[in-house]
Amino acid sequence: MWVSVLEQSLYSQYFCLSLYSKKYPIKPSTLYHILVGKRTASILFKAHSYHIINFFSVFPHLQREQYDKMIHHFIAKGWIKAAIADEEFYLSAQGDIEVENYFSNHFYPTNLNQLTQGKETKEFWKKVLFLTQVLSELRYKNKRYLPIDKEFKTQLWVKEWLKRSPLDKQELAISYGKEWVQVLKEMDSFDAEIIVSQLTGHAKFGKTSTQIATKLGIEPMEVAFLLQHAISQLMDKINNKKESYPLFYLIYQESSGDRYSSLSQSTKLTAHYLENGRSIEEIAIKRKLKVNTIAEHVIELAIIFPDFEVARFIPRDEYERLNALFNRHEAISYEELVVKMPRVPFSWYRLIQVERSRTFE
Amino acid sequence: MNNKELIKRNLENYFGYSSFRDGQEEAILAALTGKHTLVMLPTGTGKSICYQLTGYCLEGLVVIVSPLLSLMQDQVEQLKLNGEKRVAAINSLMDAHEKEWVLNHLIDYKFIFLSPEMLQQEYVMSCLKRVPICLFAIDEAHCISQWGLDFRPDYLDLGLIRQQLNFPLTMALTATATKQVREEILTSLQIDDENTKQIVYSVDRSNIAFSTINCERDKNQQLINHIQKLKKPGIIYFSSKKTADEIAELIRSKTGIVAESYHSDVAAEDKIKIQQQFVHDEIAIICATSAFGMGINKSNIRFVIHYHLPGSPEAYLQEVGRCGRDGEPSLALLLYEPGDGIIQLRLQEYTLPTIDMLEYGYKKGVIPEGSCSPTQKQLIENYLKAKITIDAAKNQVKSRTLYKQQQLYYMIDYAETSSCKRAFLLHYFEEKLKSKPKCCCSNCNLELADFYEKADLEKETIMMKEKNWEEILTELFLIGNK
Repeated sequence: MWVSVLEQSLYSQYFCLSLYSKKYPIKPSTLYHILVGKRTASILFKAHSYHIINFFSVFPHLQREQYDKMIHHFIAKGWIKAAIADEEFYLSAQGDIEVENYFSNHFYPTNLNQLTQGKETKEFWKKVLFLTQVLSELRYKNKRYLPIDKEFKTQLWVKEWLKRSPLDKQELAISYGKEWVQVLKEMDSFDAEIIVSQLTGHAKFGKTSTQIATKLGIEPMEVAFLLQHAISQLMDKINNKKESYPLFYLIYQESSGDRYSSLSQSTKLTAHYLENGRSIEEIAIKRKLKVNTIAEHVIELAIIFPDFEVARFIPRDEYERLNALFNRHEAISYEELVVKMPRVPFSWYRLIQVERSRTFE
Repeated sequence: MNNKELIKRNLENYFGYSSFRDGQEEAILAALTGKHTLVMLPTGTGKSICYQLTGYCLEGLVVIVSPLLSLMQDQVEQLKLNGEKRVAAINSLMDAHEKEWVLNHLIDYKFIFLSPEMLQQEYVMSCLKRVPICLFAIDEAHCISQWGLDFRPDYLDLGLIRQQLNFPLTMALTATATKQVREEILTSLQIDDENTKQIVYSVDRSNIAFSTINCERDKNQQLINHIQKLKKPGIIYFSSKKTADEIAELIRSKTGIVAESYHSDVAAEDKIKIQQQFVHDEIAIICATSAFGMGINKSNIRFVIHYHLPGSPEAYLQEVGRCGRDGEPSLALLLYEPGDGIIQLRLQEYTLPTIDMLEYGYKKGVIPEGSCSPTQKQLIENYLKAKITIDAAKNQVKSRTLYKQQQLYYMIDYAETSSCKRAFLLHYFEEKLKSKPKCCCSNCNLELADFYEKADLEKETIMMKEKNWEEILTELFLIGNK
């Protein structure tokens, strides 16, 4: 019946199931926090060690009740099975087949990265959409239209952007249109259709993801992933051939903040202090925060940025001793570790874990 | 040139219309002779032109107080659409930097929309005091009255605000207000009676016909049957977002009519898309909650159906008023099933705080988190902020609960009455039906078939060939085929 179809999305179910692994067990409640994007160092670390950091915060509005129901369904079907510690689950052979079958004719997102690119992508797309409308209407010399973006900030940005361009406005609009055609020709035609379906311009109004989903006979969730994929393809193409798409590249540049732009305000500040060579303790004093809080920021940074140097936070000989202990026993717990090295703070233990897992990937 | 000629010319210049609609000219002329005005014109008859055109005829800034963020945003967009660039809304959606900028450039603006909360800020007031205000307009003025449709305690201070601004020329606008509400508006605003003109037009819209269909566990079937035949576009109103979604889906799957749902959970970018598609006739039916409609400038809406019983005659008239703005025959259809009143009663329980919540709120100075609905929380906060005593607050809540029940009972009676529906609704507003239109109501021999579609337009739109992405882009930017 149509009611039940609305209430539970098959796509998101199979997607969640696909995050479980046959190799290592996953704790459902932790997975929930990862999906909704609960930003703490320990959840981020879990996301990292489950190899699903890319999907951090993909379903920010997922209801706990709904999620729990789904997990019960997985268990009842035998798609996931409990590890020895009853709270964690492996993907079963049956579950693996289910995932395989479903995604053999559905799209599976591979190049998503909410954490590092989420904000940038959103910003870029917002600007591209609005400029498309403004320039298309300009081409038709129409001033009476409802702007799709009502934010003062974006409207101001577009105004400035237009003012800065040395080209005549009509020529600018034509060039923009031509860049659109050229870059989409480089892409898969399906991706191009999805992208163009979203555009609003003169006498043309963008479709909602539900409308596209109905047309393609898939779920809105899958459309959202397909669109994300297409946009990131678009950004790659522009970035790889800047000279061919000067207008789009300009928008791209103005959308990407520094590499810390997707962090929380507080972590961002810590990151900037670290860049200026301050130590964790100095930052804590300066910002009147607990050392522990700053240490959490450091862990977060280490997880999000694979090139973030970890060794500088741990005295050299302790760093080596820690690694030696891990070499002997990779899965060593913090409790086991403090027996041997009583003065090691938890953050060191975690940082070593993060660093070691990088080389394992 | 006298005022009459001036406003006629400005109507054409600024809005492109050649003639006024009922009440507009009277209201503007009264304001231009320096009279404060209370303008009550039915929904969908161009109330905003009254303050906008008055503003264009006078030197100085027009300040508009508006209770709803979305409404404010829409009006700003509409003015911009008309080519007016000197317009801004100052509200909580704006960040501090933008607000500061607008407030420091007030002199460059013609229209400033403000939420009542903003007027509570000293800084905002000090900026307003520095510029000449030619008109102080209060939109949805019934919010001032505790008997109004959606009472807002922060509207109560508007009298004080007027005083601080040295009693500027004032225009209060509303669509549906009983006599009692109108009197309360004038008193709260501290408008002196002598110099005030009330422009009150009947809430009746003769081109809208009223009909009720009694359902017996077959509401969906009835709905599907009727919308297939009725001339579109149309709006169907629901009290629940979930039902709105479900019925939109049902319509799509059963009929092939292009239908979309619209409510507060729809993502912001989708809301704009749906609005635009609807305005440009790409969507035939919108399944909406009351969130949809205000500020939607679409004149050819042919029907408004209510799937759930509206909570009050005021709300009902406001929502059905969205059809037939072009003056063409349109239909207000209520799908009623005995017991619908109970659902509405339940919903009302969540809009007013309980005595327990009030007591807790007053004792702790904070709102019990999690146990209140957003509207309950808002109201307690408002009471606390307005420093109303707990006893007064309790009494107000009690009498409002009772009042809301009465409004609802009136709607149940409306649904069940066997007398003229139009006369019945007018009676609520202390009006008598003067002349009965040809298409009056389901108790006056109304033929629903008069509102049916003549030709089958739906199929035509489906037959149109779809363009591929390149053709679309070529057309969007007129690139020319090379």
